[in-house]
Amino acid sequence: MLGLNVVLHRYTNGYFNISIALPIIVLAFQISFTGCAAIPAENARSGENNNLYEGITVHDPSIVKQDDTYYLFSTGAGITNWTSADMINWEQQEPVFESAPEWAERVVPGFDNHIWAPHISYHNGTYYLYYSVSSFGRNNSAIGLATNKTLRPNNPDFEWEDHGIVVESVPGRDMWNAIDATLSFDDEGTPWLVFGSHWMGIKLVRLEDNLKTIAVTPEENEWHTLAKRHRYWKLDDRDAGDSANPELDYEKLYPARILELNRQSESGAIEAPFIFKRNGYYFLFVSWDRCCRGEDSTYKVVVGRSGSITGPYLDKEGQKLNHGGGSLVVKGNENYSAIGHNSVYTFDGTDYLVAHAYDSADEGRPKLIILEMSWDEDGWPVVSFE
Amino acid sequence: MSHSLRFHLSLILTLLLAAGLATTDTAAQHLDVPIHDPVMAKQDSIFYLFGTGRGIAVWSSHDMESWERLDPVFPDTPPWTEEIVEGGRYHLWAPDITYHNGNYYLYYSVSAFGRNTSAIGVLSNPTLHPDDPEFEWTDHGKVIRSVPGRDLWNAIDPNLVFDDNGTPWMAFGSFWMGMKLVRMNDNMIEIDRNPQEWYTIAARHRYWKLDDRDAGDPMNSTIEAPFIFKKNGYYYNFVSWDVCCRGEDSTYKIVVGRSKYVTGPYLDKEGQDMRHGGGSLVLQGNENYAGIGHNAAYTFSGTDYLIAHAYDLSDEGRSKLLIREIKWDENGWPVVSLNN
Repeated sequence: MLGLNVVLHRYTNGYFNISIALPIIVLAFQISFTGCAAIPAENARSGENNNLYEGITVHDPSIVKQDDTYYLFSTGAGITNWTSADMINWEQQEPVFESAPEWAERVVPGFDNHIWAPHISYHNGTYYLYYSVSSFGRNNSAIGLATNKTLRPNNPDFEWEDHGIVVESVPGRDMWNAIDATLSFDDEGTPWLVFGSHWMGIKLVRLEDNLKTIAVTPEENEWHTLAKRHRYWKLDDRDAGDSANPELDYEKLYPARILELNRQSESGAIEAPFIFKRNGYYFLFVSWDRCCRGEDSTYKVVVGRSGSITGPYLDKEGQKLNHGGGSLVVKGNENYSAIGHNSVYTFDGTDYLVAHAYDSADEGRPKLIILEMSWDEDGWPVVSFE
Repeated sequence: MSHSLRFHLSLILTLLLAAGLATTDTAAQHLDVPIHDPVMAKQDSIFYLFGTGRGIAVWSSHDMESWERLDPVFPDTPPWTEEIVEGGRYHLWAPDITYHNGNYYLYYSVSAFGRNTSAIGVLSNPTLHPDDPEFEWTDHGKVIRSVPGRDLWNAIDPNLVFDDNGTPWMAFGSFWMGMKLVRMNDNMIEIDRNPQEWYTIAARHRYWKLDDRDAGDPMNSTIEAPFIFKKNGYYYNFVSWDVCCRGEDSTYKIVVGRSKYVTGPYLDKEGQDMRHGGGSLVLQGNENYAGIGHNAAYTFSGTDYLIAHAYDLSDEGRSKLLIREIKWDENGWPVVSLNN
């Protein structure tokens, strides 16, 4: 094969893992629309861990189906994307952006077009792709939006249009990080953007009906925090919660004891929110603990639910997600050190949890995981990842 | 939030009492000037005092002793304040007055009771003399706005300061996650966005589980009213702790820390970072005053003064103007005595 193994890294925080440090980006070998990047079927280890398909390396996958084709978008140069007819065999396609959006340079000086955590969805004749521009350990970040009328490249209407920034976070001003956005509609059809990573947790903000900007009204109830975890109040504004911001001089900031606690304690390690509606409830999935550390990752998915999109979200024990609650959905197993950054989709009547997990047999590289999701008698989601 | 409701009811009462006094007595000795959150500027030989009140209260004096009440800054409230707080149930608070390049800039707060639905606005005037033909306040709208659920700070209690490079900064804040500092545009009426530069310069403990819309623990975590004063190569950050606005039950006090840089970190006498709860006591209540706070500091004719309000125990805890000289100890820390 043409070696289109793309090793993708997303540093929301945390240390530089040397074992997966070097991005090996082999760009755009596929010239034809059918692509020549199909992974041979014999590489598929379907069935193991109940995963539909294993093998392609992705980080933060998001999927939508148009006609008979599944389209997957994930973290990567210009936003990586893949297609499949069966969610099992995937072909890599052209990235969404050949070069970084022009506005990215102001938000992250020196931005290299390595875009994080895309989220694709379809609404009223248009495909909406939210994506994150950021750099690890820092919250000078922005969520951008690109739209397209179709995802089929050979359709004459196929053209990605960038709409710029939807929401931006500023260090020292905001105690949240504008990354990891997903779009959600409440029962009244009002659009909301849920996003966030570390700092003081997962945010929800109401969007205008055009889905491109934050709703501007005199009303004050447009912003909410949906989930957060313990964060020591004395942490610097620019510290995500684990003292890994390369721009901070930690010797000067905190006494050694506090620094050690920060580095161990997973303080505020929460990100990657996704809201899924079912039976009158909004289920908020989030990822806890550390991504992006290969075999040392501790990433896991937890959930809470609410009758209202603005919360409060409670876990199975009635603990508020805003007070550190969250019921475990899935975590690493003997083959994968950790799993997280999930979405949930319904295709042909079946619910699926889509995520990435760090493959212990492949030096902790992040791999696509698709698991069937069922619901228990109390209406809570269940997946098996043995 | 019953605390804040009480606080604001007390504030209204205090101000109504103050207004009541003012209508019968437009001149007062400084010990009896009813004021809340005073700031001062001197133009030519006249001192002008601004404070919280309907339309922003204004007083003038030739000697800082006898004061005459003038018309408030706003006869009517600015229309844009409706956007911040609907229905007119708001108040104009805590002004700050600064002179720069031919204009006086008056920053002030608009807020709703107990919420951080707030904004800091700014007006300018080429002169403070009401009889000057050029006297006219121009409204420049809002500088900063805080939004509940989005911001963990409250856009009130502004204080403008210039750093040693002549760059303007705005300190502000009340409750929530403490005192903020943001770089201003040279035009003095908006924040600079190339890029935005924000810092926290002082804070006290805040429990992480608190709801975004919860101002914070009034007994242990109250912090507000920052004022930065430059002296001998240091920036001194005065802030007010504990409970204001409760008349005789107030426990308001002033603490300070200093830094070589306007952006901090500000350390107190023990080297404690003001963002970690540090702050060295400057003034607190005594047998005459229940509490003292929301101070400013200025140099007039070579003497440094601390201006604040104090809850007068001989007058049922009404808040009065307090002016005291600031002396500096051998380590360069401010010393203020309540004795005349």
